[in-house]
Amino acid sequence: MLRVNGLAKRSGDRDALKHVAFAVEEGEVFGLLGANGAGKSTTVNIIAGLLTADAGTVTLADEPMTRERRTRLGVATQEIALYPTLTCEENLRFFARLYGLRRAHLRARVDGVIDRMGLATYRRARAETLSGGWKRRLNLAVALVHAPAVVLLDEPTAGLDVEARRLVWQQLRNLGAQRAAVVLTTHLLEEAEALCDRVAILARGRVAAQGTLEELRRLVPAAELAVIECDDEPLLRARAGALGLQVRKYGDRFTLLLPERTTVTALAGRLGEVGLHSIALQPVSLLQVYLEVGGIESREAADSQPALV
Amino acid sequence: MSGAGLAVSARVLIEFGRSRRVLALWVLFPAAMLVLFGWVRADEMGLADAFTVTAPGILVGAGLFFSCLGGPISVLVVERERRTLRRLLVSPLDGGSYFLGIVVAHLAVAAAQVAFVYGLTIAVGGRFLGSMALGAVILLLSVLSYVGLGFFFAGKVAKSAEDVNGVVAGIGVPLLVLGGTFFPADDLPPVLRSVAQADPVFHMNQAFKAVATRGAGAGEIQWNLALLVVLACVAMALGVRSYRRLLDVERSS
Repeated sequence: MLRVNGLAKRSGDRDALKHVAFAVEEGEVFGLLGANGAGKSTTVNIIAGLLTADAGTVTLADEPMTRERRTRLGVATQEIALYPTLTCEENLRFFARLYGLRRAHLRARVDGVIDRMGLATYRRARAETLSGGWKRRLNLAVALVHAPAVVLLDEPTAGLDVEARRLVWQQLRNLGAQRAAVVLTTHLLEEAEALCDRVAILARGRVAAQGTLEELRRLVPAAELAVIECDDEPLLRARAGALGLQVRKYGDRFTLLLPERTTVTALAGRLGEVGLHSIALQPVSLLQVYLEVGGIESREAADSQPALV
Repeated sequence: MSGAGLAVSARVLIEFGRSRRVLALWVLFPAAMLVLFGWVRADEMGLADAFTVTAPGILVGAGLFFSCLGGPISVLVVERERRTLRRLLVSPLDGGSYFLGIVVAHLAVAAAQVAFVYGLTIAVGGRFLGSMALGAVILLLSVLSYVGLGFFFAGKVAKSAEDVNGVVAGIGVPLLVLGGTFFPADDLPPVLRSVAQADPVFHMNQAFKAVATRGAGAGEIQWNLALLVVLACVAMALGVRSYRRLLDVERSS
């Protein structure tokens, strides 16, 4: 459906994007995951036609993306962009008219999206009177009102509380079920895990890895992780080395990559006297994948990627 | 005009209709000015004639000036601030349809202001003495000039909603006074009268007043009309250019 091939974009003296490539199929929710400045919004803006790539192509159904084909895109930018004195219905009608919908067709689409997004109660309420969560839903509804084949969502739950975020997630899951191809940018690992069929991890403008969540987890050479707090880093590294375990340091904590499952007692026994304060075992998470494929280790590097949570 | 352009016009008019600021500035202000200056001149010539001679200047200056120059600036600046302009850029709406949509919305506002100001004037016995078609042509050229300049200022000067009042008051009000909006330009000292020749509002007022209060024909105001045609063309060209640049900036922001 949507193919992005070799996108590159310079921003000042750095590469905002470098050889970014991925494909999104019909009915698939594809996540672009990365910290602030990783290139997620730049990628979406190029697909949407707001920015021009220095190199690379974007195709829709194997045809180059033209102005006409872009009418098949639905875009919800990071900022909520609505007309505050217009009602929910008026906002939707306005944008539907821009996409060429008229009369009965327009009415049916507006009614449909109002129903699907649960906006019926606020149909005649002005956008300025809605809470942040409802505004975000309306913002999303505007992107969907013309039934786009591809939906681009840039941080669709930014600034929402947990409950409102889960409501938006529910709507996004429905999009995949309606056969739309969805490209979703997020810096929330939980969001990517909850919604995405496949994920591309962007780091410093490059696709560091992509695949299903399961495929990505397999990129970490471990069956399980041990998260450790201890005082004696050299000794910990020496003991882990002797046991053939890889060590990663993130902030004040160390993560050991365990090739097979074990217990806390057994691991503590094998490490011996290394001044352990705490030790916890956990499955390989998307965060670990991100840190691993992004090559992020040490406090300084971790601090340079502050927004990924 | 395309359906999308009409959708823009309709949306802008709905937003105007729901704004208290618009009501105050575009309806109450010209009405208050008309009543006030009409009343001042009533001693001299009677209420009906006072309204007849006051209405053209108030309409072109206090009415159309604020709506058709301040309006586009306000629409564009607010559209940028709330990021809807960016959203429009990813929609199929082309720049030309958007521009025309704004122009048409302001023509509708201007028509409502004409009806309102002349409704008040006729209510107290005042009259419009000349050719309505010629009056309409002058108003059309005036509105196009104002809207073009509005787009120009929105792209060049006004970066935030606070700037809009500054632009309108700082640049506009001196032009209004000099242009004979509130009192006859004949009352200006000779030096200022010479300066007023360079004020577009002066020519709008002179032309419209001549038609509305003396029944002047096109031949009598040909100089003012020619200047208005040139002004409208230049203002629209400047407006389109400034607006295109604004869209380029918005795309990359």
